[in-house]
Amino acid sequence: MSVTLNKVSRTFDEYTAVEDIDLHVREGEIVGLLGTSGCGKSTLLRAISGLDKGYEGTILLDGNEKEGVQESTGFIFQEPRLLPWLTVGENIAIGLKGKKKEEVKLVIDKILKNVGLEGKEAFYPRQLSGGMAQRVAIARSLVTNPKLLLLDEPFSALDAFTKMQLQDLLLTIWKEIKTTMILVSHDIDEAVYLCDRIVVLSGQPGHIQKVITVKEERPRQRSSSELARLKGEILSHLNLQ
Amino acid sequence: MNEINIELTENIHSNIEPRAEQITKKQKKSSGRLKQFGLGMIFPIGLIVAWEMTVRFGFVESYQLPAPTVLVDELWALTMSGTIWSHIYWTLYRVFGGFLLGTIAAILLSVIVGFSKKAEYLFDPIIQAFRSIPSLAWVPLFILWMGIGESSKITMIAVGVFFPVYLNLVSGILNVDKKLIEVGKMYQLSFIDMVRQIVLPASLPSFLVGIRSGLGLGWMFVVAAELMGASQGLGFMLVLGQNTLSPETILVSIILFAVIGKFTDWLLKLLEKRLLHYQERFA
Repeated sequence: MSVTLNKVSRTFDEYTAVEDIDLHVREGEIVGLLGTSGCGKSTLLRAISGLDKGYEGTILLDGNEKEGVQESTGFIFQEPRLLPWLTVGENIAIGLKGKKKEEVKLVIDKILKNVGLEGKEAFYPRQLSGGMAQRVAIARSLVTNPKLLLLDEPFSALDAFTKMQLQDLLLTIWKEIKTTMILVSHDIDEAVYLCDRIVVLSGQPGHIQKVITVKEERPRQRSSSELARLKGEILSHLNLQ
Repeated sequence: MNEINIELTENIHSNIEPRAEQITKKQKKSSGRLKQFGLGMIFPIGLIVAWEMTVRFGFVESYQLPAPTVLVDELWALTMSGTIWSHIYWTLYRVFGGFLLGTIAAILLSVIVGFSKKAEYLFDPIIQAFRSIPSLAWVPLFILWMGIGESSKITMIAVGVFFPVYLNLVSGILNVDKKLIEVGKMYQLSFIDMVRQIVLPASLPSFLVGIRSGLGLGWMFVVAAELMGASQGLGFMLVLGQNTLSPETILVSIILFAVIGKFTDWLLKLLEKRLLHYQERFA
């Protein structure tokens, strides 16, 4: 699914979070929204998701203007946001309304295997580590076969190693289902490792500073010199270097 | 052959060891609990013995404070004659009836107020005002309106149960984590599904706190209700004991209130534990 933003702005009461955003995300692309705190990246993501309808400008999904949350959009939040009274399996199944029990079980088993949590469908959220819980959140978002996956700093609450594992998991999933991904991050290493293009936002209200294309082919090396060079470029755009 | 034997014995050995450890662990746990129970019993038993001694040695007049042994006799007599059961039955019936009525009313009003800002502005102030009216103040009004039959008693108890359940449930509904609501929105849950799958389970802990509190108040209100115009019940026994100058009757009634009241609270506590098994406790 392609996403097009035309002159999108978002103002809360007197405060403008983000202004004049023009962006086109091609189908199957992984685009990162990168910037420091307060530049409106999460605001933009929420506007695209349909959770926030109070923006100005137009947002087109596959060329059509749609209002509100779409079934084809999945969202992964910064916290896992699992329902504590449901098991892992039941949490994942929340997107599978009206399907038969056997069908649901098959889907859950397959998805748990894909995210590396095979056999854990009876666990409760309180029994999961942060990384495991976020995997369940990923599984939950994939269950509806989303054509657009929105991720709001999905790994920022995790330790460095789990983060890298889950980034690789994300790439594996993307290779398989080729969904469009828009990822908000404040981690430059994460952005250059995962994304095809990086939209650098800065200022308050947030504007697009620069759009950087990462030409390096996947699988990428986190320690590659090209990625390091790009990191330097981004840091200078953010006036941090 | 020898190799296989060695492997087998090793396996059996390694399987027995952990089991033996497990058994001693369990024994330690249950002896620990026994110790805890024993310690908890020292004071009450000591108190009862001291009480008995005080009356036996004449430090207190037995017509003011009967000895525990006298109470046991009285309880035995009442049990044998069967009258105790009808008293217990009627009090339980009223508490239960009032509890059910109060809880249902509280659920209905909580849901309305919780989901509609307008309803909150309309109803909540007056409910808060009523809340501060002490229990006994309702008695003459209900007697006037409904006589001294069962309906006035059950209504009174329902009023007592209503407020804690309402307060806690409204608070629970209004404080449902908005982050979980957003998850529901992303899956485009209908309003009913949102309530059923997210709001109600999320407010369940508050609801359970409310009904435990409500039950406690129900027991309090049943005494007030039975003090006026009852002919059966544990509260009536209090009046009976006073009128027949029989402190044993009064004390037996008080003890039964305590025991049965505690038992019903324990049942709710069990329910709470089972329903909230998924929660992470920090203690």
